[in-house]
Amino acid sequence: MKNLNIRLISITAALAVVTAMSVGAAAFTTTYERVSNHVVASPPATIAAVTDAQIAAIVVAANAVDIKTGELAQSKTKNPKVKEFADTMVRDHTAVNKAAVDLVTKLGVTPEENDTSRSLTSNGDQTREQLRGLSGKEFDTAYIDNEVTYHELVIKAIDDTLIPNAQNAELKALLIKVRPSFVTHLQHAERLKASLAGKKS
Amino acid sequence: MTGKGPLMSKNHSHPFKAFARVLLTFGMALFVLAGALDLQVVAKPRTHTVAIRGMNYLPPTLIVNVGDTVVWKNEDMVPHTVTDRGKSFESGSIVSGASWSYVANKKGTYTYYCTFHPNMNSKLIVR
Repeated sequence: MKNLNIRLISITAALAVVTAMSVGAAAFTTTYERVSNHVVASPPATIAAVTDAQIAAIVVAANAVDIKTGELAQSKTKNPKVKEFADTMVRDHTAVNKAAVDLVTKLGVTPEENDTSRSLTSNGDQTREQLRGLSGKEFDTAYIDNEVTYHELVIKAIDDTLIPNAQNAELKALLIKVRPSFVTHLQHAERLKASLAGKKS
Repeated sequence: MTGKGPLMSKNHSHPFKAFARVLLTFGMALFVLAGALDLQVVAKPRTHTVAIRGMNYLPPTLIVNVGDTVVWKNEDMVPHTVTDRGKSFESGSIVSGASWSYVANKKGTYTYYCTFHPNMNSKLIVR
């Protein structure tokens, strides 16, 4: 039951991120519907501008959320495969954040907090609070489920919002360059999810 | 005297031809040896570069000769490793922008991967 709650929070959090992008940051207008257990998205109807400063804040917030969740997993999991995955999340997202901060510093861009970045941070806090109450396989399953959903949504945000709206060529190049690592993380999480589902508790 | 001329000439021509044959043989031997030396020059150790880019090793399969050096350069933002599944080589963490090199001293086919991202796989063939 706790796992289900976590999953619902994950989806809600993810939807809130996209909603914030379409409403708060006025990035684009997209409608999302939940049909049974599937999230169905219609194509963006209109695309408005998100500034480079806002994109920088979204990138930093997105990475920070996964670093903190990964650190929690490092301290709680007893599963070596889940621990390795959490190690990779902390290592990679820290490296990406460093590259992003180095670039915006060089460009003289100050990250500008916005509804999307704030939503990412607050939903990450809620997810970690829920995860703290779990242990053993229940924790592992909830953590990995959340990582699958998180990376799916971040990749979608990169494709639909961040890359199309980035004005500075170097910022756009950074987003394009970082995308394959997020795809690899998603594949890794999906394999772990299948593996955990196949194991007896 | 005149009668001996051709005879003397014939007598003189034998050692000359023998000497010429020795020279020719020696020259051919030198030629073959030079060829062999040339071959050694062609086969001197080379350095090959594998780019780690977009969460891939490029090229996916590399064929090198024994004694060659392989350099892996990490062009991604995230760290990677070059780890042989048979434990012949292990780079440790290669951070963004850094390189790691390995001298391929033993023939064989080596499948390697990134311990941080286990779905990154590649092959090194040493012949």
